[in-house]
Amino acid sequence: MKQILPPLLLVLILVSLWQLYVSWSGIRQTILPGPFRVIEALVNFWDVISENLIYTLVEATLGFTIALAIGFLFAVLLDYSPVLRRAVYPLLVASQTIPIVAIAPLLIIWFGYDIVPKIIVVWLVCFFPIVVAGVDGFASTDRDTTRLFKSLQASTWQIFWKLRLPSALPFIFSGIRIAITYAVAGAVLGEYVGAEKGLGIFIQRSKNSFRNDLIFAAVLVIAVASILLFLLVTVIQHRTMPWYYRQQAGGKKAGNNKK
Amino acid sequence: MGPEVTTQGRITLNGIYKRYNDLEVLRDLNLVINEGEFVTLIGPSGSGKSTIFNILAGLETADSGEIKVEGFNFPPKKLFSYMPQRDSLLPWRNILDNVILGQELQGVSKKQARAAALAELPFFGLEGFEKNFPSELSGGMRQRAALLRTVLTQRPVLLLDEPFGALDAITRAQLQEWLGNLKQRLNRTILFVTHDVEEALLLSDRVYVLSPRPARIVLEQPVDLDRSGPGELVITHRFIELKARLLTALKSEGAI
Ligand SMILES: Nc1ncnc2c1ncn2[C@@H]1O[C@H](COP(=O)(O)OP(=O)(O)OP(=O)(O)O)[C@@H](O)[C@H]1O
Ligand SMILES: [Mg+2]
Repeated sequence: MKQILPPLLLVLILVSLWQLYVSWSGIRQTILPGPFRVIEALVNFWDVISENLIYTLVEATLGFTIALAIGFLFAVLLDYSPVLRRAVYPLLVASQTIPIVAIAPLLIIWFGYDIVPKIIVVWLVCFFPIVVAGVDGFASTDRDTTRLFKSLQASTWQIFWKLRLPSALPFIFSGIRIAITYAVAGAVLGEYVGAEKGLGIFIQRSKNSFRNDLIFAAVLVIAVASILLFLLVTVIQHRTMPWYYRQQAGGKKAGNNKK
Repeated sequence: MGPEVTTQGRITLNGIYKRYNDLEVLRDLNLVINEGEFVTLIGPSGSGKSTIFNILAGLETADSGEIKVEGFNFPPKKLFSYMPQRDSLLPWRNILDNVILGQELQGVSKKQARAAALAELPFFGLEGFEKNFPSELSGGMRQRAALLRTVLTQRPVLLLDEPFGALDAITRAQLQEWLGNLKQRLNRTILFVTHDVEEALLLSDRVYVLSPRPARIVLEQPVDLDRSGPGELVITHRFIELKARLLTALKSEGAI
């Protein structure tokens, strides 16, 4: 509760300022709709918006899942082979300088208007943070502990599963949290340049019919969906790494009261 | 507990040389470790003590020289159980699952290894903490957990690299006394590294004083102290005499 209160308050203040500006400046609500107008639009158009939202979410999760699977495999490969890492890593970084907005229309030309190009866009935005986090995470493995494993004649396999992977988990989850926040926006971007369904094309159509209130409503839905996905990942992270959070909390330092 | 001491075994290091690129770390090093003995290496920082351990544990290879093992009924690779300078406990495992690591990696079933470990926890002052994560334990307890992990690996020779080096003076003194009492029960050959002359005398049967890098043996000193006697050992005449001798040997080499 203590954690939720400050952001909640801030949002409340910002929304009030927004409403105040709209009321006092006399700006036309078709140009800048007030928060109440946006909520109203959201409620009135919920059927259409929710149908499109589901579409967008399916694209986002599919693209993200593929990015996670391939990204993880990539990270393992790059971790395993220093030569490969030196060859591929710079290319990966360079690939990030390519604006997705420029590729998205090409993807539509190549793959058509259906779900495939959207999944590719989501994959493109999610892949990089996951690979980088994975590679950095594996590299963070403690050297002394690795030596300990080797002195116990641990196999490469055992070192991976029992040492390198758990060492990398906090990093991998950070990468996942960044990726998941990009995922929905990535899907929307993919739809925006050409689609039959989804929030991206819904925004496009709303713009064309001068329904700025509907654009705001869609943006609100996208934001909330992204935050919920982010929270979901955080919950999974807490479940997967309870030791990590107990460590951060400082633990209860059991030893201080017992010899 | 532990592997039975049967015949009198002996490990001999003969003329060991080791260099890292331009850095000569070991030059003609000779050491003998008898089965069942507690042998301490004492020497200045950076002299090559951990390097000796790494060679014994098979993590590094010597450039030349031989390591002869006689009488231990173990394959050379399963002779040494190594406790690194830092505890190297896995933060994502609770204490119980940390201490069984050695057995687990060697294919012992977790269930069986856990049962054996639980029985040992009281002797290591860890009873009731088996479900705690390492971050929830004090430095002294972590060190004892790391030692239990080393012991449970079921190898006849323990390599303990400055196990109490990072602890505060009080905890350190407690653990020295505790290990002194536990030695008999462990029934292992122990090779121990420390910077601390008193610690060496309190625990060892024999002490080797090493020179600064490249490491040679400056002094080999048997420790003939009556540890069961009454009163404080550290103020007995013999203790002070031995302490002076070790310190002189360290000083003569400009180590301190
Ligand atoms: N893998 C390595 N590559 C290069 N140099 C190394 C390597 N390992 C150790 N050294 C160097 O060899 C020397 C001896 O190191 P070692 O760790 O054996 O010393 P030590 O006696 O254990 O010191 P301390 O008491 O500080 O732990 C040091 O100067 C160290 O920097
Ligand atoms: Mg060392």
